Amino acid sequence: MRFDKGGQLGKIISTFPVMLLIFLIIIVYLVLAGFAFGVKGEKVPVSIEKVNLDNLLLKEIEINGEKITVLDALIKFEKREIEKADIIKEVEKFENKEEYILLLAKGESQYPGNMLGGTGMNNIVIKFKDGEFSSPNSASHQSYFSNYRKAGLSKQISFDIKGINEKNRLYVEYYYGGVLK
Amino acid sequence: MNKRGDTPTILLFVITLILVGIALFSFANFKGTFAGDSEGRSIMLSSVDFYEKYAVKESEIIGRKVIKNNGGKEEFQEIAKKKYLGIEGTEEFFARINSGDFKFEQEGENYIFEMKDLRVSASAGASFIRRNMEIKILFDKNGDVANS
Repeated sequence: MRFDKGGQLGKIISTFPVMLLIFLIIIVYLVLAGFAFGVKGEKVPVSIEKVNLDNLLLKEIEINGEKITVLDALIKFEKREIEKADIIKEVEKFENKEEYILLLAKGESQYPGNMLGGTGMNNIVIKFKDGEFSSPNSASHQSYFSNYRKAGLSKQISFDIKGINEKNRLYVEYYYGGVLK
Repeated sequence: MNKRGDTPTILLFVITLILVGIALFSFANFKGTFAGDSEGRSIMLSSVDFYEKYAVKESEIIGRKVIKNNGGKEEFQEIAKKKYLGIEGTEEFFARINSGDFKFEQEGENYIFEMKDLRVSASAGASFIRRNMEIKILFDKNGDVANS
């Protein structure tokens, strides 16, 4: 048999960079895939008892002698028809479990729990413990919302409501359940 | 030289280079838009689900108040009119109560509220979800919900 040695050598020479590139791509793919799998979602501590968060906004409270949902109360609060104190007085009556915390924030931008200063003063944080309740200093409210958000425990929902504010949109960030330790 | 034998090898090299370029371009330009779309759909679904529960809850609150006042369908409409806060997606629920397109009747000692083919909707950008539902709530004589 007669071998075309020049042809074989040419094939080897041209195949080598191709194979090298293929291996390079495989390595890039594996590295990127590794990063993708490496990015894990926030872990929710298994010991935390979280109530059904939809039910929190649909819980009934009584304001000015009228039964309304927590969501309706927040909308009325945004429309300045009721005061923050009216809502606090009612949510403090919620079932006072061993060690619970309630976070409620509303605003026209995403993650209203992040708000600081005057606007942040409208946010509600209430800690329940052994039948008593307390509200931490409003300056620290933002860190509570941030911690429960990072832990994947709090929830955010938004509504289109005409005439409620400049953006006609209300964002509500909330949590009601066991204390994060 | 075997020029015809080299052609597939050269083609393989060129095609590989093109594929390499496309793959790298895809990696560089991918901004996780699939996740964004999925998140949008998820938000719409949870919004529709929430509006469904909201309509049921509002019916329960209004129904209880009407029964305690010994009222009827007209009082139900009056209270609902005051309770409407303008949430988009729940307009049809309140509009149908306003137009009297629902049932609120006493049956024996109990009261029944019923609204058929109610559409609740949510949108995100160009996407839109609408769900048809039926609300049927049985109240006892004290206005407490017997079942729904």
